[in-house]
Amino acid sequence: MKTGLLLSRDDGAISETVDVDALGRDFGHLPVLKVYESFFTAPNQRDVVQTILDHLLEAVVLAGNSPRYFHRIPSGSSILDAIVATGINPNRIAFANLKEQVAFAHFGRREDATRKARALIEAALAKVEVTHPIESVSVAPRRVVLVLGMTEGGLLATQGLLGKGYRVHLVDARAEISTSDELREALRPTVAAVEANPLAAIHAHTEVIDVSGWSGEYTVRLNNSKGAETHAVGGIILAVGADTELIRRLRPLFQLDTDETGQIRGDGASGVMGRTKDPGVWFIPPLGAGGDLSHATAYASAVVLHLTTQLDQNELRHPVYVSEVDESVCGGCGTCVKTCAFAASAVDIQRKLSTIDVRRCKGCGNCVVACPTGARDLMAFPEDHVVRSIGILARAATTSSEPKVLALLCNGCGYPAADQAGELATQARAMCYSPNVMPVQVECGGNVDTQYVLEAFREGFDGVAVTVCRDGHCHHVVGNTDMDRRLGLFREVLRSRNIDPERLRVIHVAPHEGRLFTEEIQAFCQDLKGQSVQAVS
Amino acid sequence: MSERVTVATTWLQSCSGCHMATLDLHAELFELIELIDIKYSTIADIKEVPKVDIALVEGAVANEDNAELLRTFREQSKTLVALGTCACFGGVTGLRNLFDRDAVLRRGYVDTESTVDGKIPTGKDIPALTRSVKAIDQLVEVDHYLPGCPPLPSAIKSTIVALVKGETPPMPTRNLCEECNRKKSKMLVPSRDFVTTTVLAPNELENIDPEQCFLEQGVLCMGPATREGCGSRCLRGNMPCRGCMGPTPDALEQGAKMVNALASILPAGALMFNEDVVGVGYRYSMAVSIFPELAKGKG
Repeated sequence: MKTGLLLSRDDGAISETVDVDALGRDFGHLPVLKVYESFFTAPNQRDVVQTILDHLLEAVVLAGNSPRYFHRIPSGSSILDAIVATGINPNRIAFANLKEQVAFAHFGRREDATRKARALIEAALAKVEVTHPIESVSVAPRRVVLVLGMTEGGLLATQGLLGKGYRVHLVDARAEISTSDELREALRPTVAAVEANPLAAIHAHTEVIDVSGWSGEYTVRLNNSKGAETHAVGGIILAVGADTELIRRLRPLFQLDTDETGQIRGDGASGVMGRTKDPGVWFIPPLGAGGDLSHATAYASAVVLHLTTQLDQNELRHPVYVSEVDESVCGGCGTCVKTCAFAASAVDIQRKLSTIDVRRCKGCGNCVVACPTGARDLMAFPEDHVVRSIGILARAATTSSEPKVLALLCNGCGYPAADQAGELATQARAMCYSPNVMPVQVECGGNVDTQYVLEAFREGFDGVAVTVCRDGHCHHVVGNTDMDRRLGLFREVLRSRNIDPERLRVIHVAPHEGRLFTEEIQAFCQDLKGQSVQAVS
Repeated sequence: MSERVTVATTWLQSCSGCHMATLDLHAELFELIELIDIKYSTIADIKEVPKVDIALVEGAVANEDNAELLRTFREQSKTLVALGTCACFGGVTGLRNLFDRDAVLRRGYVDTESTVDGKIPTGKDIPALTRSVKAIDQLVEVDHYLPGCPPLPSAIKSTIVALVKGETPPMPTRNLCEECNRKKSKMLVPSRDFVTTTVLAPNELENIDPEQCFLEQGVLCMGPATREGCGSRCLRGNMPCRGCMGPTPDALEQGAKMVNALASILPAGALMFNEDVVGVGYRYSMAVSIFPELAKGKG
C-alpha cells in the first residue's frame, strides 16, 4: 500500500506540545511525508491533492485534528471530499488525533505527548493496511418526503416542499393540528393550501410502523384503521412537537439522539438546524416559549432547504457498513438476528447462512461483536485494526508510575467527549490527563468486543475504560445495553484470570460532557495506581 | 510392505481417548494397516522414535517430559497432526491454567480430604509441571489439526488416508448450528427479547425436546461458538454442545465470543447465577485463550 503521512502543526496548536519535526524524522521512510502549518487553507488543500496525484498514493494518514473535524466542519469535509475525488477510498483515509487527544490533553509534557502521537500515527498507518475499501450503493433520490406530525413545523415544511414541487405524505396519529391556539388561527390558510394541493396526501389517524432505506430512497410502512400501507419516499421530516412518548417509539426507526427531557437532540455541528445522524432525516423541534409564526417558518424553511438540496441531486451514494458474511464460517445460528435492533439480520434457513439487509443496517457493529464465529466485520473499524492498535498503543505507553489505560471510545459519545475534554484542558491545566491513557475509536458500545478487553490485558494495559451513552441515548438504541450485558458477564472471565474486574470501567458520558470524561478518567487512573497486572510472557 | 507410509503416534497430557477412538475403527483398521506402517506408538513397546512420514500427537503439553517428547516427534516427522482437542487447544487439561501450579499440586497431594500427611512428590525421575498447559502448536509447528474430544473415528481415518495420498485432509469450518438438525424458531425472529426467561441445566428440564434448539429451551449450548465436524453427536444424544471442536477459524477465541453472543440470547442475570460462564466457555480451549493463564501480578 503506497501511503502518505500528512502532518499538521495546526498553526502551533499541535507543535506547541508535540514535537512534529521529530515525528517527521521518525516516519521519513514513508513514500510521502509532508508537514503542513494547517490542513485548512485553500493552497494547502490544493497541495494535499497535488501530492496524492503526483505520488499516486493509495492511502493517506491525516495526523493533526480530530477526525470529527473532518467529518463535521465545512473546511474539514472540503479536504476530505477533495481527497476522495482523487480516487482514494474513504476507508483508506485514516486519522491520528494529535490535537484534541494529545497536544491539548497533555500540555507541557512534550516527550510523552510526542511518544503517544507517534503511536497513534503508527496505529493509523496500520489501519489503512488492514481495512478493505468500503463499497457504496448508488441511489437516485425520490422527490417525495414523509412529514411526520401535523404541527406548525410539519405544516410549514409541507407547504415549503409543495412549493418546490415535491410530493408530501403528511402523517399524524391524530386528525387535527397540534399547536397553540394563536398559531392555529394563523395557520388556517396554510392548512387550506396543503389540503387543496394534489401533491399532498394527508394520512390522519396513522402511525409509522417501519422504515428502511437511506437518504433518497426510504420505504416507510404506515398503519391506520384500514390496515398497513407502504410508501416510497426520498426524505423524512420529523415535526412531532413535544410528544416524548412518540419520540421514544421513533428512536429505533430513525437513530434519534434525545436529551434529558426526552426531546430530539440535533448533532449540533456548525450550527446546522434540525440535522440527525441520518442525512435524509431532519427534525423540527417544538416551538419554544414566545416563539411565533416567523420562528416556526424560519426553522421549517431551513430544514426544507437542507433536505431538498440533497434530494435535488441526481445521485446519492451510501456506504455499505458491514462486510459480507463469511460463508465459510457462518452456520446460521441466529445470534445476529437476536442482536440487531434494526431487523437488518436474517437467516436463510435453507442454506443456513446469515444475510444482511444493507438498507436497514445502521453500521453499529453490534452483530459483528455478537457473531460467535467472527463471520462479520465492520468496514470502518475492523477487528484486525482494533487488535493491532491495542498492541501498538500498549507498547508506546511509558513506564512511569502512571497506569496504562486503554480507552475504547464510542464514536457517538466518548470520542467527542474526549475531544471536548482536550479543548477544556487548554483553558484549565487541571483538566489535563495522563498520556498513558491510549484512545481507540470504535463505532458504538455495541462494537466493544470482550476479546478486545482480554487483548488489552495481555498487551500489558493496567486498565480498560469503555465509554458508552447513558440509558436511552445510544444512537444505535441498544449498543449501550448490550455492552453492559456483555461486560457484566465478562467480569467473571477477568476474575478467573486473577484480574480484578475493577480494572474494567464503564464510563457513561454524553458527547458534550468533556469535563465528566476527564474527571472519570482521572479517577480511574487514581484507582489503578498501586495495583499491577503484569503482561503475560 | 516397505512402500507403506510410516507413522508414529503418542499421547502427552491426555486420557488416551483419541487413541481409543482410533481403535474404534474396528474392522476398518485392517484397511488402514494396508496403507500405513506404525513404527512407533505409546501403545507399542518401542524405545526410540524413528524418522517417520506422519506423526499423530494426542494431548497437551503440561510437563517437561511432554515438551521433550513433542520436540522429538516434530524433528522425526515430515507431517505432524494434532490429534484431538487437547493437542489442538489444550483441552480439559488446560483448565489447570485457571489455578496457580503450586496450588494445584498442593490440592492434589496435600489438601485432598482423603489424604493424611501428604507431600508433593519430587525427584529427578518426576517431570516438572510446566507453569501453564499449552496446546502443541504453542511449542512446535503443526501441519494439520484434528479436533474433537475425541475426534470421530471416521475423521481420524479420512485424515490419515488423505495424508497418505498427499492430499490436504478435509476440515469443516462453519459453526455447529450448520450440522445440527434441531429446529430454531425464536432464534430466527428479529426480536430483542431473550429466547427464554431463565437458564437451566438439561436435567432441570421436565422434558428435553429432542427436536428443538437447546438455547431456545434455556440450556447453554456452545454450538454457535464451536466448529462443526463432530457429527453433532452430543446433540443427537439429546445433550447440548460443550464446545470440544474449538472455535471457528475467524474467532480470536471461544470463551469471549460465546459471552458476546449469549448477551443477546439468554437472560444475563440467570446466566450469572445458574451457569459457570468461564467453565463452559473455556472448557476445551483455555490454553489458547487470548489470556491463557493467571495474571502474574496481584489482582
